[in-house]
Amino acid sequence: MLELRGIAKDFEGFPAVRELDLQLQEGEFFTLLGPSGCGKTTLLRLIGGFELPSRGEIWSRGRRIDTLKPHQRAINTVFQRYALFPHMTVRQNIEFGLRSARLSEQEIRSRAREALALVQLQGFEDRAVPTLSGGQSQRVALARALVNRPQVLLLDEPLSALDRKLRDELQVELLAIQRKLGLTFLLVTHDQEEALTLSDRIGVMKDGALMQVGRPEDVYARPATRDVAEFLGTVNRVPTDWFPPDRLPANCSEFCVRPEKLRLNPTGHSTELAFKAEVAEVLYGGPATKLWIQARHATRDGTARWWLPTERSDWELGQALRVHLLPGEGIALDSEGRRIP
Amino acid sequence: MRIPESARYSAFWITPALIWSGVFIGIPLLLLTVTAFAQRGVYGGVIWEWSFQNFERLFDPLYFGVILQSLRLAALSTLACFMLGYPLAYWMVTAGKRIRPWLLLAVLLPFWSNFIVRVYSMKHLLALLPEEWGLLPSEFAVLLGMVTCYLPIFVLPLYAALERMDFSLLEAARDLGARGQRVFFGVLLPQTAPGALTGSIFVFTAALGEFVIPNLLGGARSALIGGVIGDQFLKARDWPFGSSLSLLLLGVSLFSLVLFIRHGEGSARPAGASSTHRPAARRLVKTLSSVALCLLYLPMVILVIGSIRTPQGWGWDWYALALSNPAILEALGRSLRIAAGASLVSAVLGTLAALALARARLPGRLFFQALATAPIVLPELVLGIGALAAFSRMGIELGPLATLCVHVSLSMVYVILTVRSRLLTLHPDLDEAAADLGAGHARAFSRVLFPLILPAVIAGAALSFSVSFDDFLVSFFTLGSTADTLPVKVYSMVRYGVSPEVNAISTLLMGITLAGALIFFRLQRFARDAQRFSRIERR
Repeated sequence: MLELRGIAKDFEGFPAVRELDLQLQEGEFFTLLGPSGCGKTTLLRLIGGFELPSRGEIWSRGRRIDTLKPHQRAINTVFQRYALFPHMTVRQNIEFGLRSARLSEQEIRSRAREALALVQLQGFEDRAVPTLSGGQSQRVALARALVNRPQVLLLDEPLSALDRKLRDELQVELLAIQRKLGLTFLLVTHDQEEALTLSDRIGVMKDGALMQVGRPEDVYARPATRDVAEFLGTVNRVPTDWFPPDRLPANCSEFCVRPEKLRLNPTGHSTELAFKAEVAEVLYGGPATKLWIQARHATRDGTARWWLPTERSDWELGQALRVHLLPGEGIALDSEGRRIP
Repeated sequence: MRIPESARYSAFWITPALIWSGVFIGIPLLLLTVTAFAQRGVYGGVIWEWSFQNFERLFDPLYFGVILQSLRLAALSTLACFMLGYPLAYWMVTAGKRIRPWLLLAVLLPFWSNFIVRVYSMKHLLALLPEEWGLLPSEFAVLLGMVTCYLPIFVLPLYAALERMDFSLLEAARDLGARGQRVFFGVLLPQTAPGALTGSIFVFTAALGEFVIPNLLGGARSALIGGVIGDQFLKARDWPFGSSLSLLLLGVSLFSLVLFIRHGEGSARPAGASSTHRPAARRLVKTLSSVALCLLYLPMVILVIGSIRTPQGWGWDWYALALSNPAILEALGRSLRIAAGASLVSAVLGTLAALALARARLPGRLFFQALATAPIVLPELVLGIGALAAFSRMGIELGPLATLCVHVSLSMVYVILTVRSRLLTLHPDLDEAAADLGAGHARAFSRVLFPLILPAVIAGAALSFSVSFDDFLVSFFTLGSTADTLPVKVYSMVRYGVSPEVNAISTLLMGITLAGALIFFRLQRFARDAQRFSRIERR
């Protein structure tokens, strides 16, 4: 329904977004994930109409919209800093868009009431914006955008200013609202956990380009490149010469493995892909303990520093371990950092 | 801050303000510059033959002596302001939370009070002292007048600098064994140098071109540059020579402006962590501050007392007399009309210019910003004289309308500054949010941006009003001989003595200032609250 065709944006010669294609499905929750400065916010602002693309086209429901002004697009935004109008009440903020559209007074009232109920802010109608807490401001910003029933709702790091607990709560709520309304959400975030939790599909961006688009499970388990693997979760590197000659693809120059795919088995049976290790650091973290280990191959030179999560916390520094790689779970990369399937 | 494409306003909105200032400030200054190279005609006209003769005359022992004397007095005034103002500013910053706003108000009130009234209050005080002391008229009286009048403009930028200073630096210096002098000269002064320099520049340039204070307090013997310039234009009718003297003043202030931009308070780095613990002021600081406050308030208090002291005892007789004097009432009415007109025009032109400065893609933004604020730092005497010369040459009739036009170009600056700084605190994503919610440019401005900057527009217009209402120099030179404003009327009434009637008017004026100041404080607080709100909303 929303389609970007070869969209690009240069800021004084600097390419913030490079010729990029993307299609959103009706009713999906799509997340643009990437480090700061990767162009994801610029892409969002191009769709919202706050910046004009240098090249390319944007289409929404069969209509070309990249030449329209922001107020002419049926797209609404939840701003990172909320951008609530500080001189208006909660109700006036929420009704602003409806009044811009010159709806009937009755319609305005009923839709504003619905929107407030949706974000569970009944009773806050006449509160002044400055008296709201961060979480409440966020809900108002969400209601103010949703009440217009946009074709696409753009969310620019909407939860990044909130503390962790509130963020987790609002994530669940955001997802419930999206499911309930069946609207298309386009979220921008640098928080990989948020992206994995909320999205139907994720687009990982770097240097103004999309590196991979796919379902969260796919992007996490089968990252297209080393950058994607490193940005979405973390990886441990295994020196390639630690493997028996025929175990890796011929052109593999780097081998990575997710921390949770390493298994500790100090006493049990051994496999051929097992290494000696000793405990280098124990970082207790409540439900899981993060264990840094120094791994060694039986005959080859060199060591590798890996970490993995464990449930036990009673480790001793220097304790000897054996580490197994689960078969088929590694990520083999070629010399250019691309994953070998 | 990069202004996003969708939140931009047109750069052309700065043009009305530019044209206005160009006509009423630019052309007069240009004319003065040209005239400085011309010759004086036999009957006081200007003969357009070019030479450096007028500049050579600056080195004539007579005038050179005046220049040196002016420089000396300006330097002395600056030094005295430093000695009294630094302790006062330090006290203001380190005083307890409850006294601090009152101390600030105590410095702001004289700053906002009518200039003529303040000079006159000093004259009134000195006239009460025994004549044998020879204080009035005297050079010392001029110095006293300068310090009283200019102390606030020294203290305020310094206060701003001290306010932003990290006071743990002082503790660090003490911790490292420094004491008294070394803490002051080694840490405190270098840290606050931009503020102190800014204040000194303000005082020095203002004192150098001073016209009113020597005329009221110095008598005939203490001729200063300002007085000589006035004489060349009003009495001797030697415009070319007067112009060359004006250029000298203008040169000094432009040099100061450069100094200010490069090293002054504006160039100061934003402070790092500011510690909440500030050491209490010591006895010496408090003593000197008290002297400063006495100097600021004693003349005013005596003046208020003088206004209710009648030959029969106490009473409101002088007020009744003053308020039944048709000449005074007429001048008051004219002042109010001019100030109202000037603030109205300023509010419109200034707001447009501020939008262009803060929200437009303006090539050479810094240049325009400097241009927009320049009228504040130019010596007002030169502006008044330039306008007089330009109006006479262009055949524009002197009078209230001419005065109003020049006032607008002066007072507009305050609207530009307040509105612009308000706009800079408003994140462009507010404009974007409005557009996002379907509001076109007009609706986004009228419903979102304008209500948010309205307090700043009103505050700026109020400042403009008071600048115009208080102005003496420009009015003095551009009103012509038939009309006067209240400050001009007061000046002519107290030129050669004191007048109990003026005591009453002055007290009234101070009362109005006090009321205005309190209103302004409230508006500012509203603006500050709104700003705090948008900061919360940003966090």
